[in-house]
Amino acid sequence: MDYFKLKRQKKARYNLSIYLMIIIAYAIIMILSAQGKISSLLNGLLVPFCTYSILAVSLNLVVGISGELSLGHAGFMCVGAFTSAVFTRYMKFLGVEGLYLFIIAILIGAITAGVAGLLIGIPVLRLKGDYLAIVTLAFGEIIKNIANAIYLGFDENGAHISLKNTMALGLSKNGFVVIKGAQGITGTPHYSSFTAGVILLIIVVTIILNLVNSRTGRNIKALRDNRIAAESVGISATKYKLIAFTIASSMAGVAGVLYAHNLTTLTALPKNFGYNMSITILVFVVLGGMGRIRGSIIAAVVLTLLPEMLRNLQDFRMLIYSIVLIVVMIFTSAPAMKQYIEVLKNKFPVLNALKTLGNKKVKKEGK
Amino acid sequence: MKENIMLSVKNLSIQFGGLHAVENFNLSIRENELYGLIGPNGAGKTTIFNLLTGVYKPTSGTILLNGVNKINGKNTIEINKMGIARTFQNIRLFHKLTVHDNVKIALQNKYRYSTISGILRLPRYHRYEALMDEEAMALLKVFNLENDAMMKSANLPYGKQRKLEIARAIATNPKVLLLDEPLGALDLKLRKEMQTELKNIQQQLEITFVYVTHDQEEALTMSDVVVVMNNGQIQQIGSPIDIYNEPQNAFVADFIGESNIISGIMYKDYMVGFLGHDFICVDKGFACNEEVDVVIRPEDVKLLEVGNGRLEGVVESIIFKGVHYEMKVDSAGYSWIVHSTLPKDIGSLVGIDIDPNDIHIMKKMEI
Repeated sequence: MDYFKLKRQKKARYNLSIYLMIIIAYAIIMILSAQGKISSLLNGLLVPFCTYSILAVSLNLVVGISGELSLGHAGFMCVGAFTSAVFTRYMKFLGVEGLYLFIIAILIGAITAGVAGLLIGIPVLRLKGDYLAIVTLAFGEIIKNIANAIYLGFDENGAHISLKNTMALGLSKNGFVVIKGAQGITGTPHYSSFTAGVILLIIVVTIILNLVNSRTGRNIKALRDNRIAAESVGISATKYKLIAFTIASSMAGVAGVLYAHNLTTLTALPKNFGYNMSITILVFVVLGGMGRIRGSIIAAVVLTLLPEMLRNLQDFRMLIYSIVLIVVMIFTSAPAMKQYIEVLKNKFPVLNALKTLGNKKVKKEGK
Repeated sequence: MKENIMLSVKNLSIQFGGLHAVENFNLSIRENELYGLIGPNGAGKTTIFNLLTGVYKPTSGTILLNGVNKINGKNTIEINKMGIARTFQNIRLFHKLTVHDNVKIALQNKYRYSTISGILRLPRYHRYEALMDEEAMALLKVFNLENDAMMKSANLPYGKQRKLEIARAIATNPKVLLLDEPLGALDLKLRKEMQTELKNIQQQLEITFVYVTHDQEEALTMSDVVVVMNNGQIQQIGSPIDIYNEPQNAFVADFIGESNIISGIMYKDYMVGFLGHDFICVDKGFACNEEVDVVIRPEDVKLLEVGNGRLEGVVESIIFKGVHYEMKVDSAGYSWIVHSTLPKDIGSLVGIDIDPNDIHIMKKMEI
């Protein structure tokens, strides 16, 4: 049957377009930066582009693919950021530095955030819809507030944790305080780079695409479409919802690692790990399209760039940003707009060139 | 082989609040037969299915699969793995996925591979995906759906959606398949086609089918065994011929085809009196002067010239029904339903008579 071939080629083309998009964007920016044509503003945004893209792609697994509204995604990013930063900062204190530590830090961030996702997911995923959204929101806030209140230090006796102050840690003379409560972690090594971010984004996209196109991903989608029917063909709702939630949390942890190692001071603020952030990520996902990986990345980049571009509007910046957001949302979801895009595509075949080229090839093979 | 009991249900009861949705349900289902579960709306047919698939937990009673495996108390997923699959009254498909994927999802238990091998694309993934693709396609061919394989299942026409749901249930490799109104809301022609098709598939695949319907004719034409239910209780179990010709009570008689039900008194064996006349009949074993229900099929009422029958009546209405005419004949306050191929004029006086063989005597229904 040619069906499988057709289907695989269609999927492969979609996947390829994502990778191509990322690589071309990377190449253009690298060439421009080598020529010194990139403003310092844009230069500072390169790593956040990757961070937010990873967050958007991973949240899309929960919201788009699994169909559960989660508002605590920034919390898992926070877990990944703090655990990995504690590791690299302490290693720096011990005098060990090197890029290989970054790889270990990424693994630590992914695993701890994944475990946090698993532990929170077990009670939380029993709920549905609005209830789930509220509870994840609460858990995200709890994580942020814990990170904000915690004091952590190391000495030769091991780790010391307190929620009061540095003195309460009772460290020996050789001791070193890593997390200083609301002041967070200072002096994290600056391991993150645009190249590292792009590599991580490609890995995360690969993991999620492979997951979605496998048995597990199909089961997750089946649960989204009809839970009762999915259970009637032997799919465990708890298991697969938990798998999706855990993997997404783990990927958010990776984004957290990238985020933490791009700053010198890591603090848990409402701005970076609070529900503001969670909702911003959700906006990326909704604007990019539910279940659409490519859309999530584009939306994350555009919406990160937009407020910075509007910086010279000063006081009106967030107002304009909001208006642009509303207009874009209305336009992209309007049926009339969708029809108009189809008309445009028919009028200007160039827009469709890549797709039609691929289709022709398939047709020839089919004949 | 026909003696093998596949599914045995003993004293099954369930209450919702004070309502006895199913009461003392006893049924032994033999291997490779087609059981038709029939009854009016609210008779508890779907509730039986929900009990058999673990959606509801019974208040009391046992369900055994293959005579050994206890089903009650298990959840839907475990029951599906044991070999019971079902379809739903209101179609439940994975509507955003393709037809092919819908069936593939149901094959997931047979070709299990881990999430990790899916993400890392290990050889097991490729092998099992290829096997699943082929098997799903083969199954779609059985249902003539192979040309719609790549269509989104929500876009299928209604009849094909029904077929797809059955194909999906069969993909889980069940021993018993429960079909909840599989031919509901189909047009007459498609319904007839599907009746034969379903029966062929059942014989081809050698699966025990239990299906719910409220269409009497459908139950009689398709089933090996008909189970008539009302108010959560079994009224009669028997072959279609037995059910039609020898209904055990007035409810069954009335539900399986229209009937004239008249109160009468059994004077002695083979002698019954109703509507002021004595009739010879073929039933015995009632107490002397016991009050009984007399059931007479509309096609067994003979309309004669005036004076030839023991009863007389006036034709009140006449409706053309295709093969026959349905007439209402008023006789001394009782309105007879008569099916005859010979029409009579409205208002004309006719004689009425009944053959002793066509008089069915039943115990009074407790109301």
